[in-house]
Amino acid sequence: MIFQRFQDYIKGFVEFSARGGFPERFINLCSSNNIEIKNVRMYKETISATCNIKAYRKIRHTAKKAGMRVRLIKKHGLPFLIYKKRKRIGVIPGLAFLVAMTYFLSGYIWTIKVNGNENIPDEEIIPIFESLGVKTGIRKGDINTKDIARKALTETDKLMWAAVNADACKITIEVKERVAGETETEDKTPSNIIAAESGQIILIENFLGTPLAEVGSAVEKGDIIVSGAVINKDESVNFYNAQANVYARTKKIHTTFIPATCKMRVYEKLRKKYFISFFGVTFCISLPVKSDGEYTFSSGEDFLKSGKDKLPAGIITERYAFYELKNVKPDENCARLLCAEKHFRETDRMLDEAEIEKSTTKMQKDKTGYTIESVFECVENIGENKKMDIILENNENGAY
Amino acid sequence: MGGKSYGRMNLTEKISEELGIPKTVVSGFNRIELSGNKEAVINDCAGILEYSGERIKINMGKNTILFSGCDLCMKEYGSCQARITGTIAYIEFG
Repeated sequence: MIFQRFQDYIKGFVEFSARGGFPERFINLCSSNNIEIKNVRMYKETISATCNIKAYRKIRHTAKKAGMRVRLIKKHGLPFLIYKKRKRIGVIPGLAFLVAMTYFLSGYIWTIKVNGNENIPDEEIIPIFESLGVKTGIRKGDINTKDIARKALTETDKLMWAAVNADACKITIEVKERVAGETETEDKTPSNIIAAESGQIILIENFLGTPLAEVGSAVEKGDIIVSGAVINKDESVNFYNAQANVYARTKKIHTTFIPATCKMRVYEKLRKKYFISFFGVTFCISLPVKSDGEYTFSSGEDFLKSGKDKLPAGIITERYAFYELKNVKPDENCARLLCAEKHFRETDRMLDEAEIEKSTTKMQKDKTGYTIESVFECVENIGENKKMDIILENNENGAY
Repeated sequence: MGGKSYGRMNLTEKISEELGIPKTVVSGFNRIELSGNKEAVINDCAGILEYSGERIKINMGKNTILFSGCDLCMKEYGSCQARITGTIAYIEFG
């Protein structure tokens, strides 16, 4: 039914009414003259029906024979629409351009997707393949998928297997990550575990070696805690690469100073530059930015999306923030914030692997600037491997 | 013979009955398809005898058929087939 309606629309059909005369004779004459009429309705001696354009041309003559007068009510269909819009000269070239563009662009790659990766992000995998020629905007026929997949495995050792599948306008990169095996390269160089920091030992997890310090004892930085020399029962000595975790309570002090007057970047103006990217081709649509002075650069991109897939058309924005280095005396709140931000950034890095038990922080202000001092009491692994210096001496018998 | 009564059937009809051949093929009867009381499709119409929203009378050659009801409409009408839609109240053969 729908297909029939579509067909009628493409060919065009008209609605007409006929009155007077003999309706039944009119219908019979239409049938005998092979004039196909549809949706015939009768209302108060007026017949209304539809027929195609070709049939309508013959209907007047037939209606006249039946004594009826025919009147056109409405025209439907593509032929009438085209005739109505015939003066719009851009329609046909526009349609032709649309068809040509669709055909042309369908030969290019629009999106690239990665499947099968769990630990390695897409942003790390895609550049590998981009360097081998797989990028949005390339022609489908220009890529040799098998060759590229093989070359990609030589570019990185994080992938065990890779395949490139080109399907319509999309490329799907299937990967299998390499599972890291246990490293059998064990360091067998004789070494001791020494204290990397001064502190009080609270736990020694000894795996290999002779502990020389006890839990509860205080050690200075550099003291040997676990020795790699193991004395056997027969008083012979073996030297090993000592392995142990030594947890100690340590005290750390960190100070940060911000001068009252400091050189800071004062941002004065922001300039933006816009680019349109279309299938790998980028062109600038704004005026060039004059680089008069120092600036920080950042860029962002905004591409069209189809669901989660990024399409190869979008806008790239480059931002140039121009600044001058000036001696600035920040106000008290700003200075405190700057000092605190710097201090906590440094201490965070310093105490990355330590567990903080207690901390005290003080801020002082004087004429020269602001000082923050923090004292931390923390628990951390202070054990550090240090290569053992073995000196062999001959005894009287000539043995070592 | 078989206990069957042929009534007013002629020879052709008797043969088609015995052989199981459809009567529309042998005797030239018109085929009418009804879809409930909403649609009727008639093959091989000879002409329209009466047409209105309540009554449509069709000449089928050997006899006539009258459809009575309301909102009757001839969706298609050609030399080989006519399709009537609407609410058909009753059908009369004449």
